[in-house]
Order: sequence, then C-alpha cells, then structure tokens
Amino acid sequence: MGAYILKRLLQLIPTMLIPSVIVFMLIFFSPGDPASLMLGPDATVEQIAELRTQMGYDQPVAVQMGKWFSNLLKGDLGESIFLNQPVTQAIGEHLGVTMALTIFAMVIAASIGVTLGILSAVNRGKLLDQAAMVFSVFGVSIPEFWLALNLILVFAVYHQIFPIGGYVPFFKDPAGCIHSLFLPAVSLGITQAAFIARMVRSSVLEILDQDYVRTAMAKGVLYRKVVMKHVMKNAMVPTVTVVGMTFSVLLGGAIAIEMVFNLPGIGRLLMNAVLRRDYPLIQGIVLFIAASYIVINLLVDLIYMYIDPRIEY
Amino acid sequence: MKRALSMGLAAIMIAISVSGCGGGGKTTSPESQAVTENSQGAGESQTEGNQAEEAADSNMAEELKVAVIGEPATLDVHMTSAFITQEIGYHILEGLYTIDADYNTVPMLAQDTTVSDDNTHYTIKLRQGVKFHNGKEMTSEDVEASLKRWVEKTSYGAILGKILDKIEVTDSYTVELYLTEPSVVVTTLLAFPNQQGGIYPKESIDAAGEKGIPEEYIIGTGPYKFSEHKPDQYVKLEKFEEYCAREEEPSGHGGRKTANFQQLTFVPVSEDAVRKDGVSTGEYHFGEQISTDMYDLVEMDPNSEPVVIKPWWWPMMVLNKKEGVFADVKARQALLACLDMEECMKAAFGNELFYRIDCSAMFQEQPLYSEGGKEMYNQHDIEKAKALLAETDYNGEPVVWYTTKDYPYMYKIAVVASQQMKDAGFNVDVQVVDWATITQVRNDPSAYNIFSGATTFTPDPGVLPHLDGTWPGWWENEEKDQMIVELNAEADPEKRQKIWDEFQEKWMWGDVPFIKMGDYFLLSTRSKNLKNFDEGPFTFFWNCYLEK
Repeated sequence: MGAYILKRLLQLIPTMLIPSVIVFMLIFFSPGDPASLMLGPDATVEQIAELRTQMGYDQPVAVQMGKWFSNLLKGDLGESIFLNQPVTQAIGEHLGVTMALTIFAMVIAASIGVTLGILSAVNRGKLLDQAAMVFSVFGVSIPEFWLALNLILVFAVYHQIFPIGGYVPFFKDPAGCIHSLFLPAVSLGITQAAFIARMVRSSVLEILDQDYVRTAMAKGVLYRKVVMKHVMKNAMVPTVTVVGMTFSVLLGGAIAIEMVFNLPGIGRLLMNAVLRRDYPLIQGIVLFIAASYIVINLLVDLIYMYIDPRIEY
Repeated sequence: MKRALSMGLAAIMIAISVSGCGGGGKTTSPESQAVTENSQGAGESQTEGNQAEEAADSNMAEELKVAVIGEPATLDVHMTSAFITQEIGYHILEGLYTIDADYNTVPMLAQDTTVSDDNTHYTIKLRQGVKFHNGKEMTSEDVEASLKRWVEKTSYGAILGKILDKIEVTDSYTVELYLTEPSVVVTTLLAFPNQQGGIYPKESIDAAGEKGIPEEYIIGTGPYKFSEHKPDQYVKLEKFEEYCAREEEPSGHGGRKTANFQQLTFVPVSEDAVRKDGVSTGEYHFGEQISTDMYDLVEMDPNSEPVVIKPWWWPMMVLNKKEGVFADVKARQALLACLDMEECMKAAFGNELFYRIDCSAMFQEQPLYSEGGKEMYNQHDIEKAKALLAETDYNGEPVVWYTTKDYPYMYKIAVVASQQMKDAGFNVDVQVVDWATITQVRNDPSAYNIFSGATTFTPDPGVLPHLDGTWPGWWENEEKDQMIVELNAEADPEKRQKIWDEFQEKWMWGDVPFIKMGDYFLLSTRSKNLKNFDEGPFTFFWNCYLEK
C-alpha cells in the first residue's frame, strides 16, 4: 500500500503542472492587467507602463512562466500583488475559513443526505420517498446564492438570529464560529445534501435488489438489521465517493457563498484575485485546488479499502 | 509685491494667527469672517458641531464599522487614484490644503500661502507643532519629500510636475514652489481628496518600494492612525490622541476635525445587498454605494436611512480620436447629435433622485458651473446625425464600444445609446468585458472606438485628467491645451468663468472628445444612530458620532 500511496503522490506533479500551465496561458492572454487596476482610473498610459515594467509584466510569456516555475521548485509561489504578502501566507490565512465552512457544510450535507437517501430507498414509491425526492430536486435545482440570500432575509434581517456575514475563528470562539457559519453552511449543506441523497438512494436501491439481501431477508433477519449491516456497508463506497467529491469542490472555494456572506475564504480570495488580475495569487490558488483534489481522491481511495476489504491496491 | 492667493484662501489665511498645534486660529478680519460664515452655511452648523462634541463625551459608541465596496490595492495614497484607498487614506493623512463644504480650497497643514503677482512662485508656511502618528513633528523636509513623490506618482501631481521648476525648503516651516509658467490651480491640485497630496514623514517616503509605502510606514497627521490591515477582512484605524486640529469651524474636509471613535473599521463587503442589510441589522453603521433600486427599502427600514451623495460623478463615452471613425470630428459630432441623454440616464439610474440632465463639466453645486455648449447636449436629432455622418468617410465599419457590467450604469447606457447610434447609421459592436479589461484596452488606440467611463468629482476644470492629450482617447490639440494653460494662469474668478464657458462650448461640446451623459448621484446607507454626518462626495467619519 505504501508503494501505491507514493505512486499516487508522484502523480501530483504532472496533475498540478497541467492546470498551472493552462491557467498561466489563460491569464497571460486574457486582457486586463494589475498595473492599471492598482493605479486607479485616472492613471496615465505612461504611469501604467512604468509600473508594468517595474513588476515585470512587460516581459515575454516564456520568461514570466520560466521565472514562476523556477521559483515554484524552490517552494516559492511568489507574492500577491494586491495583498502584499506571500501567496502561501495568503492561502494559509484564508484556508481556515474555508476549512471550517467545508467541514460544517459537509456534516449537514452528509447527515441529511445519507439519512434521506436511505429512508427514501427503503420506502420506495411511498409518500416519504416522493417527499424526499421533491426535496432533492429542489436542492439540486436552486442556486446556492439564492437560498443564501433568502436565509439572510429571514434569519438575519427579519429575525436577527444569525449574523448577516463575517467570520469568527473557531479557535478563538468555537460557539461564535458555528453561529457565524450556520447560514452559509446550511446554504451549502442543503444543496449538497440533495445531491448526496439522490446518490445514496440509487445505491441502496441497487443493493436492495442483490441476492445476498434477499437471502438475509429469507433467513428472517430483521429488515432494519439487513439495511444497516448489509445494505449500508455496500452502499457506502459510492456514497464516500460523492462525499469526497463534494468535499474537494467546497475546499476549492464556495465562491458564491463566500461572496454573499462576506467570508474571507479561498473562494472569495480566488474571485478577487481574478478581478484584480493578481496573477501569482491566481496561480497559487489553482495549484492548491489541484493538489487538494488529488489528496482528497487519494484519501477516498484509501477509505474504500477500510469499508470494503475486497478492494486492494 | 506679493498678493495673497485667491479661491477663498486669502481671507482665511491672512487673518490666521499661528498658534502651534491646531494652527488654524481664530478669524479676526471681516473678510475672513465672511468666508467662515459662508462655509458654515453649506456645511454643518456650529450648533450641530457643538452638540456632536457634547454627545461625544457622554453617549458615544467607541467603534464605527463601515462596509466598503472592496479591498484597497494599497493604503499608499500616492500610488493610486482608486477611491477605496483614498477614502481610508484621508482619515490617516492630510495634505497642505483640502476642500470645504462649498468645494473651495482651504488650508489644512499649510498655515499661510503667498503667491507672486505672476503666479509662478508659491511660498507655503506650514503649521508648527503638528505631529505625525509616530510622534515626530511635521517639518518642511517631510513636505518636500512628500510633494516630490506626489508629483512623480499621481496624475494630479503630474499636472503640477509639468510646470514645476523646483521645490525649495527655506526653513523648517517654509516650502517654496517655483513654476515655469503661471498657475492658479496649484493649491486646488494639492487639495483634492481623491488624489491627495498627503504628507508623510520623510522616513515613509524613503521606505517606499515599487508597490508603494509599506503599511508600517503609512503614517500621517490625520485624526486617525493606521492600526491593522487583514486583507479581505478589514482595515482598522485608531484615534490619534495627539491630533493637532485646526481651530476653524468644520466645513467639509476643512476646519476642525474631531475623532469621535476609538476605532474606525473598514470592512470590504462586495455584495451591496449585504452592505444594506448589514446596516439594517447593526452589523455595520455605514454601507457605501448600494443599488439605487434599494432606496425605498432603506427608507422603510426602521434602523437605517438613505444617504444620497450629491453631486457624485458623471458617466461618459470616451471616443478614440487617434484612430478609426472618431478621428474625424464630424463623426464625433454626428454621434453627439443622435444621443437622447434623458433616455440613457433613465435606463441607467431609474429613479430621478439619482440623476440629472446637465451639460456642465462642473456640477451645479461647484464654482465654474457652465452652460456653455448647452444646445449641443441632448439633441436626439437623428436626421442631423445622419447628415453629419454622410460628410465623413464612414462606410459602416463596426464601431467597437467597450463597456462593463461591473458598473451596471455603464452597460445600461451602452445598450440604450448604441440603439440610438444604430438609428443614425452607426454599426455598433458593443463588447461587454470586466472593468480590468477596459483599463487595459483603453490604452490601445487600435482596439476600440469608444469606451465607457466616468468622471470622478473634480474640484476645478483645469485639472480634469481627460483633457490631457496623453489620457486614453488621446485628445491631442495644441489650441485646446493653450486654453487650459490660460485658464490655469488666470486668477480673476470672473475671467476664469469666461474662459471656461468658452472652452466648454468650443472644445468640450464642439470638438466632442468625450460625451458627458449627465450627472449621477450615489446611494449609500447609514445607521439612524450616526449623527452629525456630512453627506459630501468624499465620505469621511470625523466629527460624526454614533449614539449608543
């Protein structure tokens, strides 16, 4: 297994390299430049050109890319143009918010999604199943930001139970952190729960039709026991895949939710970096997102082995 | 013999008595009283100011939270004209001059200014005993270093730089500016809050790198000092306990400044709905720049009230005069002839509270307001446009117009105006991009024919950046440049008005380098507990206070 993990980690290099090159080219050839934005609307052409030269953005793409990759090999992702701090530091400072939000949203999504998926499958065709599927369709269809704005209106503006935005660090005040992240986590959690519920339902339904389930039932094993012990264990593999994928997506930044709730996370950082043409920061975040996808996929694969001993690497 | 500077400075400054920290001094001459009273009339009354100070003692919240539209690229006010940097910056830094509630130039760190008869030599006496946030006293050495950098780095500074021969320090409290040609707008340039000639200690200037002055060196003489910046989370300022206030009554950015908050926090909030709701729920106390569609909602809200910032900016179409169809003045005049400004402005701003149809480059509320060229503005004469266009070489090639939805009004104007242009025979190709793209594309004369823009509040027409031939759009014309030189050299207000009337008619509307669509005003929102707040175009948070 050690060799497998090492092999997967080595795959990180080309996997991260490809998006980095693509993003570098996209940024280079897309219009807009940080010097113009930095100097403001009244800057003259000469002032902008001077700053571009000072920052090195007038150099050919190959030179700029070469410089970036050589720094990357030294572990240096460069410095954010607008935040005036190293990219790694900027990502580190914003990661805490996104981590907390992701974990909170995943707890909500997984608990609601898995429960609803199982209940829906074992009550196939009944009212509960239909209600659960209506919820799922609703959850998958509505945009997160729309749900977020409505939650803000009801629970932050009309009733003022939760704050309208902002973030309290977990290690500073755990209760305050949960309070501040409740609405964004629910906004994200509901939509992801709907997605998970649909996946769990179809997996459970598929396994309920398997011979070994029929055999267990024929032996007179309690239905609840069959579902929890035989069906769920086997349905967990696709469920873990979905949860892992969702986790990767959220860790890459829930851009709309972070913007709406004014959360200083990775998503907002990326959005602002794009709007400001903060090239080193965009590159750094893309690299981080690529890496987090790979690492989470690896973890999911390792969890498979734990859930299903038949899987070996 | 030297005479005192015009523009409202003279009366105040002649009478000013030097009184160490706080400078300013009481006005004793009838002339100076007249100026002071005038300033009070348009700004906050003395009674209100006193109420504010009394309230400040007993019933004042210690922190004010302001929801701003974004993250400042830098806190160095010399580096950028971006509004967010300037807005935070003028709480920290002060210039030699500033503008009062009537948009007149008044002294701030300057104590006394004399100008030679030929307007080429300025002698600026500084206030004594004014301390920087690092405890050091401000002297002419700091002013010299700051002004030199401001001239080098900013657009307004560059305007002065073109005619600046040298800056000389005579003694610790005297700075002299020698010009190569006469100018009466030197103090106006130095006073303008949006490109402020903020005075840093020399050490800060020495510490500046390519991206500006490092945050630990963001040091000024203002009522608030820089405390902490967490990117994308907040910028915190603290009350500067040793602030040396002027003694004149507060008026706009001029006069006495009192910091009534221990802490002033600027929080970047990108969504305007969140800024509005944040003020309503008490999370923030001021939310800047919200959609004008939200006016009724804010008015109905029991906790907040609308703030209409009037005047604010004016939107414009900037025409590429270097290449393409609009290199021909007839084509520019054809474009101007076809436009219906009322229709464009209504589409862009909806509620009539937030726009005004007006041809003047200076707002009605400002000096040098002019109706020159009024008949050429808002013509909506399609037949005339077609006739003018027929006189050009235009053959239906695409007229590329870069606009953006980042500023929705720019996009809406482009949608309506492009239809009017099509009616007149232009083949318009509207390109919708983000603002960052426009800021780059506009520098390339081969890339476009029109780009959407807006003119920020400007204190004097002689310093409008887009009158300069190097600004995007490239209005290169020596005769026009000469007239600006004349305007900037003329001290007599009546003669200046005459020159500007003629310029606006002959050049701004006759030559059509850009097209002003109308005035527009800004909607912000504030807590009902925020008192003594000044609703001028450069929002500031000294002298106001927040009731608990």
